[in-house]
Amino acid sequence: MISLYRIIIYGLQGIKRNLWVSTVTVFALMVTLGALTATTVSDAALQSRLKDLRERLSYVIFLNDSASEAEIEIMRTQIAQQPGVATVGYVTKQEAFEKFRKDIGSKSDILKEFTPDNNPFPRELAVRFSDLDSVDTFNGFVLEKFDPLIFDTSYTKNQDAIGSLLSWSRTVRFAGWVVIAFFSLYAVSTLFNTVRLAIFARREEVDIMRLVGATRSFIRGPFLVEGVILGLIGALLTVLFTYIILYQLPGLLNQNGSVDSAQQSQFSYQMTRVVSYLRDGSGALASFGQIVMLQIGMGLVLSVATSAAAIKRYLRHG
Amino acid sequence: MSTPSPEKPARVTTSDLRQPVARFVKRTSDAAKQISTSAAAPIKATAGKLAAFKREVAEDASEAGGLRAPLVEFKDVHVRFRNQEVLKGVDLTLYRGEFLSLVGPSGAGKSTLIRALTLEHQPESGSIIVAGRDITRLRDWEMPYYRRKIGIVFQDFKLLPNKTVWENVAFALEVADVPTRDVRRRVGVMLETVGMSHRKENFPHQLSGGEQQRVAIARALVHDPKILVADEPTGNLDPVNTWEIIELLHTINKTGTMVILATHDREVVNALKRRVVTLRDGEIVSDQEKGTYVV
Ligand SMILES: Nc1ncnc2c1ncn2[C@@H]1O[C@H](COP(=O)(O)OP(=O)(O)OP(=O)(O)O)[C@@H](O)[C@H]1O
Ligand SMILES: [Mg+2]
Repeated sequence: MISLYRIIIYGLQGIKRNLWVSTVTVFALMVTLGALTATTVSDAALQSRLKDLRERLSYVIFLNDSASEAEIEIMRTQIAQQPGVATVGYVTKQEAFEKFRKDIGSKSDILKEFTPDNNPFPRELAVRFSDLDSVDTFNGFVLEKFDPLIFDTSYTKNQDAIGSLLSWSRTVRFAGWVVIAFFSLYAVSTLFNTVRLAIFARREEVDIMRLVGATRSFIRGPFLVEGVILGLIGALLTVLFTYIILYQLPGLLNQNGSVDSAQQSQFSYQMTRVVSYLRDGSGALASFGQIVMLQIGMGLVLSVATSAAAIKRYLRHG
Repeated sequence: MSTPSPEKPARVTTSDLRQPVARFVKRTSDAAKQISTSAAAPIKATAGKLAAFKREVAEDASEAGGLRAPLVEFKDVHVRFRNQEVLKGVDLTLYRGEFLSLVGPSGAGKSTLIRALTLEHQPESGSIIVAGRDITRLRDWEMPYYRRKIGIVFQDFKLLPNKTVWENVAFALEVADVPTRDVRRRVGVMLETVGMSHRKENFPHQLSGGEQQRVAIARALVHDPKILVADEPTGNLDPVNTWEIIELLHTINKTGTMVILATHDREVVNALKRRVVTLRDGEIVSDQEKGTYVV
């Protein structure tokens, strides 16, 4: 009990009396946490943007008026069973008409030409995909199997756009993961080296403590206490920066933008876009409170784990 | 190689020591000037004060009777660094309350012998019996508890750079779970004994070498060890500080603590007139009861 108290006091003393090293350690920790947060958040932003696009991409089958409800129902069931298909929605003639009316606006005179009896809009099957890769196969299947029922498909018109989007998204996702892996590894190893150097500089202290009769846990304790406290400080500062960047920066930039030159406002416009893009990402990932918890947790784990690993080699014997 | 006879305890009093000290200081005129104008506080160590301190912290009062009981026994100790044999079978018995000077040319193995006793380096073979236990067979977890029973003083002081004088001395008690109230009292007495109370808030780098060494001695003694090991404690000090430190060690010894002093200082050894063991090439070549420095 009394030695726990002493260990905590020693830990606090260690931070205060090695202020420069403590500052550098906190900084390295902030860079690490910032890097991890930025990469995960921007990946989440990219992912949610892609999901958005994917949802907008639907393969619409316009049906011949001659096709019977029974035929359509069979088609619909078979389509839904195709690999990569998420949902199949059915749009009646009436609904298609309503949709058109909404799109065009109620002012137009065109609408008067159409009545429920004189409705030129075809019925639709709107297909959404969980796996965009299977769209090509799906297209072949539909055209081969149900050609007589089909008036037209929207796929043929969008084919090129879909294809390029597909390959683009795959590349971006892959590049994103490479960047995340590299950045995280770099940041963690920088942190580890910083802490190891800090403890290396104090290895003589460790030797002296041992010769005076300190047990291993009594030597290790203060370093771990330092790790916990520096980890908390680093995490809280990172939380503060994250908050400022995501929630305060756009406001500040817009304030400046209104008075400064056009170039500046162009810059602030771009920044605001980037920030709101990231904020969407962080929103898709987790609530801000969850991100805070994650950062504090990661800060503690990283800091204590690196301290423990670094001190371990100086405590191997006696 | 002879071991001193156990029935004839060596007795040296502080006054015995003062004469050679004075003679030595006179010879070095620089030092003589320094001693009168010395800025350092004089060592306030007195046998009475230390004895009172020891009474206060004594674990068993019965130890005074066994003054000539063997306390440390080196038995056929061999130490090897790679293919160089540094200690070639050392046999040496040390008694409670003894003051042993360990001399010999550079590279003879003095520090190696001391490091074996402080568990800084394990011998290749042989045993070292301290108070009935073979310390070469201690488990890792037992080592801290053994080290709390001995005091160690180094040539380069080895104070903790980020702790004050007071904290450095207190550390030796705090690692041993001594209650805060006792720590406060014992550190206070010990710093007064070595004459460093007035610098207790200072950090080691703010002290002179002699002052640092006194703090180191205070740290080595604050838990009242039976054995004080000092490897060239005066190696970095000027003559005045050398004599103050030696006098301090001598006073400590008079209160019953065994002192092992490795040194190159001929004047010190000759003035002490205590047991001298000479090492050469890893072997004991002479062991004199009231020895002089011969290399
Ligand atoms: N860690 C080590 N690794 C290799 N050799 C060592 C090591 N420590 C000591 N030695 C060798 O052991 C021999 C004895 O060294 P030691 O330090 O015990 O001598 P010493 O008597 O204390 O000398 P000095 O009076 O110069 O302090 C030397 O030849 C030295 O080179
Ligand atoms: Mg030596």
